[in-house]
Amino acid sequence: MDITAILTAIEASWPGVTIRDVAWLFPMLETLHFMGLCTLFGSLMVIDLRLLGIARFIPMGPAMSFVPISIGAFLVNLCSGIGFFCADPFTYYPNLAFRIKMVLILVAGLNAVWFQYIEAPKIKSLPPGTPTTLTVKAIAALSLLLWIGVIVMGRMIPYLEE
Amino acid sequence: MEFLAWLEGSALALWIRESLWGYPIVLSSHAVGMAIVVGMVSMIDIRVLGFARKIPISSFNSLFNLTWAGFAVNFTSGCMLFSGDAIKFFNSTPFRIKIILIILGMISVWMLLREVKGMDTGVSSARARFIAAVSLLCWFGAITAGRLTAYL
Repeated sequence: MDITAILTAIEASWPGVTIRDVAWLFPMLETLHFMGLCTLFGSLMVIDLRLLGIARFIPMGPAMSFVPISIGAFLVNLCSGIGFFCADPFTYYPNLAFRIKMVLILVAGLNAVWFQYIEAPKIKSLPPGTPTTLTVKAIAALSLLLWIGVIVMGRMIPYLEE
Repeated sequence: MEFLAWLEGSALALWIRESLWGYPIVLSSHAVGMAIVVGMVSMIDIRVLGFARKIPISSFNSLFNLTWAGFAVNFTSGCMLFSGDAIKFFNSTPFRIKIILIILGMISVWMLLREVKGMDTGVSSARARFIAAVSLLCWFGAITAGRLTAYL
């Protein structure tokens, strides 16, 4: 099955048809996508700025309780994002900004998984005020930069069309 | 009205409307600033509402300078975007609602910070929780109104 056939099937799918036909659905999904973006970035700021030492008086354990919020907000944005894609797959698929955005999300995801499974267990019980390791700080800085990149690339999608 | 027309004809407005990168760059900064402001404020709001009670509220103070910086970015980029199409924005109802909600959101954050000053871990006062809920509604409402500005 070639890519054109896949994109045609997505375009003709139930979510694709519904989102195109119901006028208020697209703006509503966009609003959810923006709310999810703020929630995701906000929760990551609490965690990453703690790790970087800027908000070092936040205790480490409770700071990590923001992780489920990040995951929940990401899922909201994943679902609304899939909705946008289904509504107009031939616009998104070849779009350069969209492709860069997807790569950045993938790298940010791998960065988060690395942190969660390799670095987080080592620092979970750090008392307030203590600095983290250089590796952890690099992960935290990368996380914030990647997500800023994701936001910028998302906003660029309408302006980087072929 | 004369002012709006003058604004639309200014060099800044022209750059926003006609240069290749002006509009996307300013729009992107506006989105990043939004993520910083609404992101940070909403995390403090949910903390006050009872989430992650083991975090001393005072430890969020160091994050607040960043929030103000984000707000400065959005005030500046917002004014620039406004200048590009001043008359349309000024007459748009969702845009007016958005500005009112942002002003109310700012007031609620200011009140909340006064209310929880020096508060440590544990549960906040009912008054603080009420202000936090109002703040959440204002900021998420401002996002909704902002999106609708593009459609109505």
